[in-house]
Amino acid sequence: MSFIEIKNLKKSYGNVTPLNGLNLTVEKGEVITIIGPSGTGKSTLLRCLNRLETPDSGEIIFDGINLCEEGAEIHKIRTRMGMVFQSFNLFNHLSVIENIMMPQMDILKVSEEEAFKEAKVQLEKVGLWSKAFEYPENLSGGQKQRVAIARGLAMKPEVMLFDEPTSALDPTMVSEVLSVIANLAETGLTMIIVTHEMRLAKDVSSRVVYVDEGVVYEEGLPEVMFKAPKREKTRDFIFRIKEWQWDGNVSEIDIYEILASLEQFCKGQFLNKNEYLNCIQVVEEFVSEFTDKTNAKDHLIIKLAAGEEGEPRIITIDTNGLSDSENILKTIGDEKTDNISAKIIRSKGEPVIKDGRIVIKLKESLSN
Amino acid sequence: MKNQMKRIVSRVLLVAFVFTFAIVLSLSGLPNSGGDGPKSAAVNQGEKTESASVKYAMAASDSKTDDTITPEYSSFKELQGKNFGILTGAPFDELVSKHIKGAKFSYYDSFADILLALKAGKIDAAVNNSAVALYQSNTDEDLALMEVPLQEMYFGIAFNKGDKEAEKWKKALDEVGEEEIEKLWKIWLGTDDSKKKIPKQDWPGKNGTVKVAQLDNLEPMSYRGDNGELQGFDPAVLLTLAKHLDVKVEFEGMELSALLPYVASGKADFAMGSMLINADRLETMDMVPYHSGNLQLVVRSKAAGKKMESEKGFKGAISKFKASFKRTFIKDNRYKLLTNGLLATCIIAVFSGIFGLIFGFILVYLARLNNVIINGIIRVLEEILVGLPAAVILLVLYYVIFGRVTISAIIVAVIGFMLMFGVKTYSVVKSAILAVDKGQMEAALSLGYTETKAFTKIILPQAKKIFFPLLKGQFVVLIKDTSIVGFITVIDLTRAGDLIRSRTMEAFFPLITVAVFYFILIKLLSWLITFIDKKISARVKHNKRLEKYKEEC
Repeated sequence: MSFIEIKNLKKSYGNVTPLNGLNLTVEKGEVITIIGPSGTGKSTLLRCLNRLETPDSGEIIFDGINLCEEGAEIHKIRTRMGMVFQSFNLFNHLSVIENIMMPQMDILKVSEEEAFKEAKVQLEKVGLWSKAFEYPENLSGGQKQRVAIARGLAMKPEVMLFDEPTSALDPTMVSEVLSVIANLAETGLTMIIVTHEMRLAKDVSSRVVYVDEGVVYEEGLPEVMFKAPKREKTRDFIFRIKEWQWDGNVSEIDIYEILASLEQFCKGQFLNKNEYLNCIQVVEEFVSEFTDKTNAKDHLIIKLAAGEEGEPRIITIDTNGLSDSENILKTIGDEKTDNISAKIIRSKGEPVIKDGRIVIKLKESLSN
Repeated sequence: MKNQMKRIVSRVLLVAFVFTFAIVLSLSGLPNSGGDGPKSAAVNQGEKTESASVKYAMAASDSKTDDTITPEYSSFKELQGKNFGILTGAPFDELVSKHIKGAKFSYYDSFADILLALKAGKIDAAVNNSAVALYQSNTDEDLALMEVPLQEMYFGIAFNKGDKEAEKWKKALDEVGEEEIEKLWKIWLGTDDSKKKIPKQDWPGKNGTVKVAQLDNLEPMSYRGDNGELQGFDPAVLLTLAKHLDVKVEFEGMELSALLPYVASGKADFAMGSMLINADRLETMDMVPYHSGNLQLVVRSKAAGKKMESEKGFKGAISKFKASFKRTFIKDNRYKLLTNGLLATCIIAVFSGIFGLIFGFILVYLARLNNVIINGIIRVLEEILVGLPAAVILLVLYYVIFGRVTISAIIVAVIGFMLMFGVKTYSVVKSAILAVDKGQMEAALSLGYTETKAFTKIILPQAKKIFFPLLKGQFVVLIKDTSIVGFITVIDLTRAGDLIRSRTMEAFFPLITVAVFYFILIKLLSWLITFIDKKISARVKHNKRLEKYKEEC
């Protein structure tokens, strides 16, 4: 029998059905990442697992115990499952060390001294022993999440559930949490991670589960899932998260909206600050210099392909829909151009013009 | 804590400053807020007693040359369209309307307030029975009596309709005889205070005990004298009759408006307190007449507002001030009324505060059970207690819910304010709990806490930060709200001040003293709460204990 078996799990709120007969098995020691579009039941699945949500029907069998049966002593089972939340949920009225000590003393009934020792071990593991006597309000988001992980680990759980552990973090803080999770994965602890973090899915997990339409749509080894997903929706999802696109009439251009959406994408893809500023500058210069809003029918497509880490970022600007496409291509393609915007764009990467498209391979720049 | 003390001291100093400022103002004669001594030798009451113009009462004077006893108005005609001060519960307004066209009325709870309003010019005439009207106009140079009576009437003891006790007392009255009663009338309306003694109840009381609702703020008929004990013509008559019947009397002092409801609800056997017999009262009560009492008008004297020569200047002001102080605090040990009142206020505030807090948290606990019926009951309770004025709630509790139960008024007050404070506690704590992030509960549950344990260990401590200052504020409101307990016959700080005012007819000292007492009480209690909270607050304590382990590592 598997460690965790989820059978035909269903959950709906009104006319939204996040879980529609989902099946999944997890073996001891597995590190599973659950990916998928927003609103497809990933978090609901995780919350059903430790019964923060009550499923409408189906079975969750954890180590031979059916959690959906009436009379299941759910609070006892929860001590065997740690959970890390998107919003950290540290107890704000307690110091860091108390956050880790109190549940041990209240629930595992260990002595204060033992709880303290365990808390120290866990805090050192996540590198935050120096903050032991601080209050959560004085910690950064990344630090809070690491404390939350330490708090969960101190309870010695058999499985850790991570519910989008990095989604609420500034991009600069994501790495610290990711490396803690990555280290944890190597200890052999069973982990189930819901994430939008593709690095995590790719590098840490032993199995990637793509959830869509309320079921496990496709699952497999990370290499397979990212290189050659079999089903169409999976392919779309994997593809979309690697590429940003703006497609619309020139008259609709709202430069701030474009830059904001580009920024969000860059953060999600872990472009470093320089790369991200370069992208922004290229798009901003092009749009402000080379588009004319009075030509209402002009059409523009801008794409950014983030690629794999270490591979170049590529911006593609499709000028075929623009009325003075030829001029623009000439100006930007000219090495000795006088146009300042064109000069700036050229300084960020070598533009190659092909079939009316400007393709810019952004220069690699090291993170500061 | 030192800072706290400093702050309190500085606040008290501020109040003292305001207090002094008010005294200086009153001395300089800007607000005419009392300080008028009894009339000087110009009026010799002893003499006037003989030349009575009304059958039993003493007439003011026939020497019209003295401005202090000449009324501002000499006929009913001149009073047309004027404003009359009426005691709430007294049937004088109809009567005045009968004689005087276009009369307007203002209603007050004590005759002292009416006289103050009269002197301040807010009303133009006050109505009362001959005894009170004469007594007051004789002792205050700003007031004078209009000799023409409004109507001839009788004082009566009020019994519930059909109560057979009434017959018994009527018979006793006949047996004691008119002359005996007349003797008492002369004593209590006379100027010789040494004769004004209430007999001790030294008879065996074989025929049981009666409970009497007794007016307590109308000198010389029925008022609180030495140490706040009830005395006056009415109690004297009653005790004479009681002695004759060999029953003991338990007095319960209260305002006029409370007398009849008190009897009607069965809290007392009958009521006495210069109640005049009229058709309205006879409709609901049986009344046994015990003395005649004509209705007369008190108006301002021609001397009103003018200062006596001797009272001008700084020295005069000082002596007036001293006399006023003596009257307010020293005479008849009146300060005891204030200290007892303060004690009553403290008891009500502290006990209803503590019990209210407990009650509120019980409600919070019950609401967490998510039972539809319980939640419905709580919501109704909340709507009623929050939606009604505190005074109405107290009156309903006292006269309706505990109407037939023998229960001390102060306990009813504690119960009433406990309920009100409890419901406030409940709604404040409830919203504070809602304000704590939902994730806190989820995190606690995910760690293996049960709902109840998570609530007490995780949610409540965080909610406390939100509800504690709010509750502290509500507690201050509670202390202030207790000032209405006089409605149900409790003598608290406010009512004690009122009683003293009803004797001295002066506003300044009683009101300022009451204000200062409240201020200090509120400051002290809220400081105490903060202090206790700091002592038990967990943050510092825990961290200190944990430092120990840190050093070991």
